[in-house]
Amino acid sequence: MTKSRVFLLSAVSFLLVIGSLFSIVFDEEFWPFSPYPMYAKVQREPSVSELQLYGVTQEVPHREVSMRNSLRDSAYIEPFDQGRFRMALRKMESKPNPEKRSQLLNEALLDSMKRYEKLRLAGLHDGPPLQGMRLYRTERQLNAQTENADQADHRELIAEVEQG
Amino acid sequence: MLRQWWMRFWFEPVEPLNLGLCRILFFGAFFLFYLRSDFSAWGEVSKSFWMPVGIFEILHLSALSGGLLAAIQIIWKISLALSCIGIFTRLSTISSFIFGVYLLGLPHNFGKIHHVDALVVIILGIMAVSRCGDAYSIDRLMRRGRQRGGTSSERLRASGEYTWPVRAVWVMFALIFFAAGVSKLRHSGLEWIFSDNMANLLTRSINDGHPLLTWGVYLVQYNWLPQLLAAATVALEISYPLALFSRKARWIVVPSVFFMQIGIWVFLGPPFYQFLICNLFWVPWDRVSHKLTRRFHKLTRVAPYKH
Repeated sequence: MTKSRVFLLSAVSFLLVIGSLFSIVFDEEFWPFSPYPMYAKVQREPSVSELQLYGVTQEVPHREVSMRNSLRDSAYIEPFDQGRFRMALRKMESKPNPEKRSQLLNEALLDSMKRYEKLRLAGLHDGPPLQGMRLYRTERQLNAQTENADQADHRELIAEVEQG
Repeated sequence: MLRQWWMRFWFEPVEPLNLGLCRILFFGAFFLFYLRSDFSAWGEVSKSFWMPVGIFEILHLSALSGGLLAAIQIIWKISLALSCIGIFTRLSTISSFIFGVYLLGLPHNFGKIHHVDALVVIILGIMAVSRCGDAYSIDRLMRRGRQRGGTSSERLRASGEYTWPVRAVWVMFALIFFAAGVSKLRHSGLEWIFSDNMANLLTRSINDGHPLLTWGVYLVQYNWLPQLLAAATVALEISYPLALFSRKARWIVVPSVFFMQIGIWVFLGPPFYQFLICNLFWVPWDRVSHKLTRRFHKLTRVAPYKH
């Protein structure tokens, strides 16, 4: 091996190690380096509070449909998956400026409805046609005996859009 | 002393066979894994979702149109396939890395960074600067064809070039799992282990309908069992760097963490396919291939015919 190759590869190794250590020490994401915080926070309470998106059907009487597809979890919201989608909405919802927050959430919900319809018309899911979308903050008790992600104990409307 | 250790760890001379086989398996596996993935839909998502991660912000990268993304992903997938068979290896591994950074990084700009593919991107970078095409590649065959009869058609010599990439992947594995262990202790301390945390995580995953098996229902009935799982998780993650320096530790830690990730997939839901695949760099493929070849020759040796 030539000296210059040893130097180059050593420099790359050094960069990889320093990049990773930097992320660990400062506990920040510098993608593709990360402190890998998945599941790092203690789940103290046997309850969950999260944002949930529902579609409002065109069909009368209007009913709410969860945007979690029972067969393919993210079929209604692709290319998002549920985790990324909820986190994105949570970041918008936590904006301190109420005007900006409302504008971002409305745009996001309208865009989600547009993509839902596009996927539906392309035959990529079999959900009903929608006339609107509603975003709720929900709370539910965890129960090991059932699958209850869509059965909230409490819910609060955060944003709502309707097809213009 | 430190220099000697550094040189021995990263550049101890080995033959190129192991790295060549790692290249085939890594690029082949990810070519198949991403073959049906479509990144072009990200080009149609509203700008309200755009929350760029560091590297995209620094380089002023944005989401291209669906059509351009479709074209880029075709080039990327072809690059992965070419890297696998080792044709124009330097060019194809560099293009796999550059387009891989963009395509795999793109979804992380839409609200959340998932950590499953960061290691893939880093390994693509490692392979791009390595000489992974020196063995088991079309490039090698073509070079030998051109130089038949000359001295350079001799067997490739052992070199540190073939040690470095594999060791770099090992180091990344160690840092990643160490980071995950540190994160848990930093954010939650020992409460992460000695509380209802793991029981609540198992229950939540069942509620969300994520896990492959709902055996978590039975596990959470015993207080000590989820806590034991939590303790084992943190212990394995924190001790992962030992695998770099001790062969014995390597035999324990690496398979244990591999099965831990399978456990997370089965009981909690999130699949770590990419991580599981990248574990291939821990296998000494040259030795495996020698053993298999010897066994094959033994089996196919014609036994003397007896009347």
